[in-house]
Amino acid sequence: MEYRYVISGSNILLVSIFLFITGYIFGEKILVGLSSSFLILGIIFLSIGLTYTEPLKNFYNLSRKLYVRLTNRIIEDLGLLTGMVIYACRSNEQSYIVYSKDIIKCENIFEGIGISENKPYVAFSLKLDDDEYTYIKSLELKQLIEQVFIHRYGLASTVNIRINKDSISIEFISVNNEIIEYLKQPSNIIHGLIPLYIMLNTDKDTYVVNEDIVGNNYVIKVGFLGESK
Amino acid sequence: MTIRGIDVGLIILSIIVLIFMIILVIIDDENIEDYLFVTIIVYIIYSKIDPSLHMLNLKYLDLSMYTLIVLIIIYKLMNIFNINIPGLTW
Repeated sequence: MEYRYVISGSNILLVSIFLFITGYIFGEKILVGLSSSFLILGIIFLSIGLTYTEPLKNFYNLSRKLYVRLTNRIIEDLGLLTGMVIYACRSNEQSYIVYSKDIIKCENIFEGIGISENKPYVAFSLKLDDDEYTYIKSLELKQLIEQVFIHRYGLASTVNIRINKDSISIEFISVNNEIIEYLKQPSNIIHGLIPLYIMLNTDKDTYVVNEDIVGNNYVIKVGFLGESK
Repeated sequence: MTIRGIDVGLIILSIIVLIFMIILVIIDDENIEDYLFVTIIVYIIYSKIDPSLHMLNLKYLDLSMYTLIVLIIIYKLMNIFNINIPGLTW
Protein backbone atom coordinates (compact mmCIF):
# COMPACT_ATOMS: atom_id res chain seq x y z
CA MET A 1 0.00 0.00 0.00
CA GLU A 2 1.46 3.33 -1.09
CA TYR A 3 -0.88 6.21 -0.43
CA ARG A 4 0.62 8.55 -3.01
CA TYR A 5 -0.35 6.28 -5.88
CA VAL A 6 -3.72 5.44 -4.35
CA ILE A 7 -4.61 9.13 -4.00
CA SER A 8 -3.42 10.09 -7.48
CA GLY A 9 -5.11 7.04 -9.00
CA SER A 10 -8.46 7.74 -7.37
CA ASN A 11 -8.23 11.40 -8.42
CA ILE A 12 -7.63 10.41 -12.02
CA LEU A 13 -10.53 7.94 -11.77
CA LEU A 14 -12.94 10.57 -10.43
CA VAL A 15 -12.01 13.18 -13.05
CA SER A 16 -12.20 10.69 -15.89
CA ILE A 17 -15.60 9.39 -14.75
CA PHE A 18 -16.85 12.99 -14.66
CA LEU A 19 -15.47 13.63 -18.17
CA PHE A 20 -16.95 10.35 -19.40
CA ILE A 21 -20.43 11.31 -18.20
CA THR A 22 -20.23 14.82 -19.68
CA GLY A 23 -18.92 13.44 -22.96
CA TYR A 24 -21.72 10.89 -23.07
CA ILE A 25 -24.42 13.49 -22.36
CA PHE A 26 -23.19 15.93 -25.00
CA GLY A 27 -22.39 13.21 -27.54
CA GLU A 28 -18.69 14.11 -27.77
CA LYS A 29 -17.12 10.85 -28.86
CA ILE A 30 -13.54 12.14 -28.62
CA LEU A 31 -14.09 13.21 -25.03
CA VAL A 32 -15.55 9.83 -24.15
CA GLY A 33 -12.58 8.09 -25.78
CA LEU A 34 -10.06 10.28 -23.96
CA SER A 35 -11.74 9.87 -20.61
CA SER A 36 -11.97 6.10 -20.98
CA SER A 37 -8.24 6.04 -21.70
CA PHE A 38 -7.59 8.03 -18.53
CA LEU A 39 -9.94 5.69 -16.69
CA ILE A 40 -7.59 2.82 -17.57
CA LEU A 41 -4.62 4.93 -16.45
CA GLY A 42 -6.37 5.64 -13.14
CA ILE A 43 -7.07 1.95 -12.61
CA ILE A 44 -3.39 1.18 -13.27
CA PHE A 45 -2.26 3.82 -10.73
CA LEU A 46 -4.77 2.62 -8.16
CA SER A 47 -3.87 -1.04 -8.42
CA ILE A 48 -0.14 -0.28 -8.29
CA GLY A 49 -0.77 1.82 -5.19
CA LEU A 50 -2.80 -0.90 -3.52
CA THR A 51 -0.33 -3.72 -4.18
CA TYR A 52 2.94 -1.83 -3.77
CA THR A 53 5.25 -2.95 -0.98
CA GLU A 54 8.42 -1.25 0.10
CA PRO A 55 11.40 -3.23 -1.31
CA LEU A 56 13.20 -2.99 2.02
CA LYS A 57 10.20 -4.58 3.73
CA ASN A 58 10.50 -7.60 1.44
CA PHE A 59 14.12 -7.93 2.48
CA TYR A 60 13.23 -7.70 6.17
CA ASN A 61 10.53 -10.33 5.76
CA LEU A 62 13.01 -12.69 4.13
CA SER A 63 15.69 -12.19 6.75
CA ARG A 64 13.14 -12.57 9.54
CA LYS A 65 12.03 -15.90 8.07
CA LEU A 66 15.63 -17.15 7.86
CA TYR A 67 16.44 -16.13 11.43
CA VAL A 68 13.23 -17.67 12.74
CA ARG A 69 14.15 -20.97 11.11
CA LEU A 70 17.61 -20.86 12.63
CA THR A 71 16.46 -19.98 16.15
CA ASN A 72 13.63 -22.52 15.97
CA ARG A 73 16.22 -25.12 15.11
CA ILE A 74 18.44 -24.11 18.02
CA ILE A 75 15.54 -24.19 20.47
CA GLU A 76 14.52 -27.61 19.20
CA ASP A 77 18.05 -28.99 19.49
CA LEU A 78 18.37 -27.74 23.06
CA GLY A 79 15.20 -29.65 23.94
CA LEU A 80 13.30 -26.54 24.93
CA LEU A 81 10.23 -27.07 22.77
CA THR A 82 8.15 -28.55 25.58
CA GLY A 83 7.97 -26.72 28.86
CA MET A 84 9.87 -23.69 27.74
CA VAL A 85 10.04 -20.76 30.13
CA ILE A 86 10.45 -17.32 28.62
CA TYR A 87 11.57 -14.63 31.00
CA ALA A 88 13.25 -11.29 31.10
CA CYS A 89 15.86 -10.31 33.63
CA ARG A 90 18.45 -7.68 34.20
CA SER A 91 21.95 -7.64 35.59
CA ASN A 92 24.70 -5.03 35.34
CA GLU A 93 22.68 -2.67 33.15
CA GLN A 94 22.28 -5.44 30.62
CA SER A 95 18.79 -6.76 29.88
CA TYR A 96 18.25 -10.33 28.79
CA ILE A 97 15.44 -12.24 27.16
CA VAL A 98 15.96 -15.88 28.10
CA TYR A 99 14.40 -19.03 26.65
CA SER A 100 15.08 -21.86 29.04
CA LYS A 101 13.73 -24.94 30.82
CA ASP A 102 13.67 -23.27 34.19
CA ILE A 103 14.48 -19.93 35.75
CA ILE A 104 18.24 -19.38 35.91
CA LYS A 105 19.89 -16.67 37.98
CA CYS A 106 20.59 -13.67 35.83
CA GLU A 107 24.27 -13.41 36.84
CA ASN A 108 24.92 -16.80 35.24
CA ILE A 109 23.50 -15.82 31.86
CA PHE A 110 25.52 -14.61 28.92
CA GLU A 111 24.35 -13.64 25.48
CA GLY A 112 23.90 -16.53 23.07
CA ILE A 113 23.55 -20.24 23.71
CA GLY A 114 24.82 -21.78 26.88
CA ILE A 115 24.35 -24.16 29.76
CA SER A 116 24.06 -22.85 33.27
CA GLU A 117 23.00 -24.67 36.44
CA ASN A 118 22.75 -27.77 34.24
CA LYS A 119 20.04 -26.18 32.14
CA PRO A 120 20.44 -25.12 28.53
CA TYR A 121 19.31 -21.67 27.52
CA VAL A 122 19.15 -19.21 24.65
CA ALA A 123 19.58 -15.58 25.64
CA PHE A 124 19.18 -12.36 23.71
CA SER A 125 20.76 -9.34 25.29
CA LEU A 126 19.69 -5.80 24.85
CA LYS A 127 21.44 -2.65 25.98
CA LEU A 128 19.25 0.38 25.81
CA ASP A 129 20.62 3.89 25.58
CA ASP A 130 19.75 6.42 28.26
CA ASP A 131 17.10 8.24 26.23
CA GLU A 132 15.16 5.05 25.62
CA TYR A 133 15.49 4.04 29.25
CA THR A 134 14.17 7.34 30.58
CA TYR A 135 11.36 7.19 28.03
CA ILE A 136 10.33 3.74 29.29
CA LYS A 137 10.55 4.90 32.90
CA SER A 138 8.54 8.05 32.32
CA LEU A 139 5.39 6.29 31.13
CA GLU A 140 2.74 4.31 32.96
CA LEU A 141 2.76 0.60 32.18
CA LYS A 142 -0.48 0.71 30.18
CA GLN A 143 0.66 3.73 28.22
CA LEU A 144 4.06 2.18 27.59
CA ILE A 145 2.66 -1.03 26.11
CA GLU A 146 0.26 0.92 23.95
CA GLN A 147 2.95 3.33 22.76
CA VAL A 148 5.55 0.70 22.03
CA PHE A 149 3.60 -2.24 20.65
CA ILE A 150 0.74 -0.42 18.96
CA HIS A 151 2.17 2.87 17.77
CA ARG A 152 5.84 2.11 17.31
CA TYR A 153 5.82 -1.51 16.16
CA GLY A 154 2.24 -1.66 14.83
CA LEU A 155 1.50 -5.17 16.06
CA ALA A 156 -2.24 -4.73 16.54
CA SER A 157 -4.92 -2.09 16.34
CA THR A 158 -5.84 -1.93 20.02
CA VAL A 159 -4.74 -3.51 23.25
CA ASN A 160 -6.53 -4.42 26.47
CA ILE A 161 -4.42 -4.53 29.62
CA ARG A 162 -5.52 -5.86 32.98
CA ILE A 163 -3.10 -5.48 35.87
CA ASN A 164 -3.51 -7.97 38.71
CA LYS A 165 -1.54 -8.26 41.90
CA ASP A 166 1.12 -10.66 40.64
CA SER A 167 0.48 -10.79 36.92
CA ILE A 168 -0.52 -8.72 33.92
CA SER A 169 -2.88 -9.89 31.19
CA ILE A 170 -2.43 -8.25 27.83
CA GLU A 171 -4.81 -8.82 24.94
CA PHE A 172 -3.80 -7.57 21.52
CA ILE A 173 -6.92 -7.15 19.41
CA SER A 174 -6.93 -7.68 15.62
CA VAL A 175 -3.24 -8.42 15.29
CA ASN A 176 -1.54 -7.47 12.04
CA ASN A 177 -2.02 -10.30 9.54
CA GLU A 178 1.66 -10.51 8.65
CA ILE A 179 2.50 -11.07 12.31
CA ILE A 180 0.01 -13.89 13.11
CA GLU A 181 2.11 -16.61 11.48
CA TYR A 182 5.22 -15.28 13.18
CA LEU A 183 3.53 -15.35 16.59
CA LYS A 184 3.00 -19.11 16.27
CA GLN A 185 6.74 -19.75 16.05
CA PRO A 186 8.35 -20.80 19.34
CA SER A 187 11.29 -18.48 18.82
CA ASN A 188 9.44 -15.31 17.93
CA ILE A 189 10.84 -12.29 19.69
CA ILE A 190 7.50 -10.69 20.54
CA HIS A 191 6.74 -12.88 23.52
CA GLY A 192 10.20 -12.00 24.75
CA LEU A 193 9.90 -8.27 24.23
CA ILE A 194 6.65 -7.92 26.17
CA PRO A 195 8.12 -9.20 29.47
CA LEU A 196 11.27 -7.19 28.77
CA TYR A 197 9.43 -3.89 28.52
CA ILE A 198 7.33 -4.71 31.58
CA MET A 199 10.50 -5.56 33.48
CA LEU A 200 12.19 -2.31 32.48
CA ASN A 201 9.14 -0.33 33.52
CA THR A 202 8.42 -2.03 36.85
CA ASP A 203 11.97 -3.11 37.84
CA LYS A 204 10.79 -6.66 38.51
CA ASP A 205 11.91 -9.76 36.65
CA THR A 206 9.05 -11.10 34.57
CA TYR A 207 8.15 -14.33 32.84
CA VAL A 208 5.46 -15.51 30.43
CA VAL A 209 2.77 -17.45 32.30
CA ASN A 210 0.83 -18.44 29.22
CA GLU A 211 -0.04 -17.15 25.78
CA ASP A 212 -2.73 -17.92 23.27
CA ILE A 213 -3.83 -16.93 19.80
CA VAL A 214 -7.61 -16.74 19.51
CA GLY A 215 -8.63 -15.94 15.97
CA ASN A 216 -7.08 -12.57 15.27
CA ASN A 217 -6.34 -11.77 18.89
CA TYR A 218 -3.25 -12.55 20.88
CA VAL A 219 -3.48 -12.98 24.64
CA ILE A 220 -0.40 -13.11 26.83
CA LYS A 221 -0.15 -13.29 30.59
CA VAL A 222 3.04 -12.07 32.21
CA GLY A 223 3.91 -12.82 35.83
CA PHE A 224 6.43 -11.27 38.20
CA LEU A 225 9.40 -13.15 39.59
CA GLY A 226 10.87 -10.67 42.04
CA GLU A 227 13.01 -7.59 42.32
CA SER A 228 15.47 -7.03 39.51
CA LYS A 229 19.05 -5.97 40.14
CA MET B 1 10.35 11.40 0.26
CA THR B 2 12.64 9.73 -2.21
CA ILE B 3 12.07 9.36 -5.93
CA ARG B 4 12.03 5.67 -6.71
CA GLY B 5 12.27 3.88 -10.03
CA ILE B 6 8.55 3.26 -9.96
CA ASP B 7 7.77 7.01 -9.81
CA VAL B 8 9.83 7.64 -12.91
CA GLY B 9 8.20 4.64 -14.60
CA LEU B 10 4.68 5.87 -13.92
CA ILE B 11 5.50 9.39 -15.15
CA ILE B 12 7.01 8.04 -18.38
CA LEU B 13 3.98 5.77 -18.86
CA SER B 14 1.61 8.72 -18.44
CA ILE B 15 3.63 10.87 -20.87
CA ILE B 16 3.64 8.15 -23.54
CA VAL B 17 -0.12 7.66 -23.15
CA LEU B 18 -0.63 11.43 -23.35
CA ILE B 19 1.41 11.67 -26.59
CA PHE B 20 -0.68 8.92 -28.17
CA MET B 21 -3.88 10.60 -26.99
CA ILE B 22 -2.81 13.91 -28.58
CA ILE B 23 -2.10 12.10 -31.85
CA LEU B 24 -5.51 10.39 -31.75
CA VAL B 25 -7.27 13.71 -31.05
CA ILE B 26 -5.38 15.43 -33.89
CA ILE B 27 -6.40 12.78 -36.43
CA ASP B 28 -9.97 13.17 -35.10
CA ASP B 29 -10.57 9.52 -34.25
CA GLU B 30 -14.15 8.98 -33.13
CA ASN B 31 -13.88 5.33 -32.11
CA ILE B 32 -13.80 4.97 -28.34
CA GLU B 33 -12.22 1.53 -28.47
CA ASP B 34 -9.15 2.94 -30.26
CA TYR B 35 -8.32 5.12 -27.26
CA LEU B 36 -8.76 2.17 -24.91
CA PHE B 37 -6.70 -0.11 -27.15
CA VAL B 38 -3.76 2.29 -27.40
CA THR B 39 -3.68 2.89 -23.64
CA ILE B 40 -3.76 -0.80 -22.79
CA ILE B 41 -1.13 -1.71 -25.39
CA VAL B 42 1.18 1.06 -24.12
CA TYR B 43 0.71 -0.16 -20.55
CA ILE B 44 1.36 -3.81 -21.43
CA ILE B 45 4.48 -3.10 -23.47
CA TYR B 46 5.86 -0.51 -21.06
CA SER B 47 5.28 -2.67 -17.98
CA LYS B 48 7.25 -5.44 -19.66
CA ILE B 49 10.16 -3.12 -20.48
CA ASP B 50 10.43 -1.16 -17.24
CA PRO B 51 11.92 -3.39 -14.53
CA SER B 52 10.43 -1.38 -11.65
CA LEU B 53 6.90 -1.94 -12.98
CA HIS B 54 7.70 -5.46 -14.07
CA MET B 55 8.72 -6.39 -10.52
CA LEU B 56 5.27 -5.65 -9.10
CA ASN B 57 2.86 -8.50 -8.70
CA LEU B 58 -0.06 -7.22 -10.77
CA LYS B 59 -1.52 -10.53 -11.89
CA TYR B 60 -5.19 -9.56 -11.87
CA LEU B 61 -4.64 -6.16 -13.46
CA ASP B 62 -2.67 -7.72 -16.32
CA LEU B 63 -5.28 -10.42 -16.74
CA SER B 64 -8.12 -7.92 -16.99
CA MET B 65 -6.09 -5.85 -19.45
CA TYR B 66 -5.55 -8.87 -21.69
CA THR B 67 -9.27 -9.67 -21.52
CA LEU B 68 -10.14 -6.10 -22.50
CA ILE B 69 -7.73 -6.29 -25.45
CA VAL B 70 -9.35 -9.52 -26.64
CA LEU B 71 -12.83 -8.01 -26.29
CA ILE B 72 -11.81 -4.93 -28.29
CA ILE B 73 -10.32 -7.10 -31.04
CA ILE B 74 -13.53 -9.16 -31.19
CA TYR B 75 -15.54 -5.95 -31.42
CA LYS B 76 -13.33 -4.65 -34.23
CA LEU B 77 -13.62 -7.94 -36.15
CA MET B 78 -17.38 -7.82 -35.77
CA ASN B 79 -17.36 -4.32 -37.26
CA ILE B 80 -15.30 -5.51 -40.21
CA PHE B 81 -17.53 -8.50 -40.96
CA ASN B 82 -20.68 -6.44 -40.39
CA ILE B 83 -22.04 -8.49 -37.53
CA ASN B 84 -24.27 -6.17 -35.56
CA ILE B 85 -25.49 -6.82 -32.06
CA PRO B 86 -28.28 -4.37 -31.24
CA GLY B 87 -27.45 -2.13 -28.30
CA LEU B 88 -23.68 -2.25 -28.80
CA THR B 89 -23.48 0.57 -31.33
CA TRP B 90 -23.73 4.09 -30.05
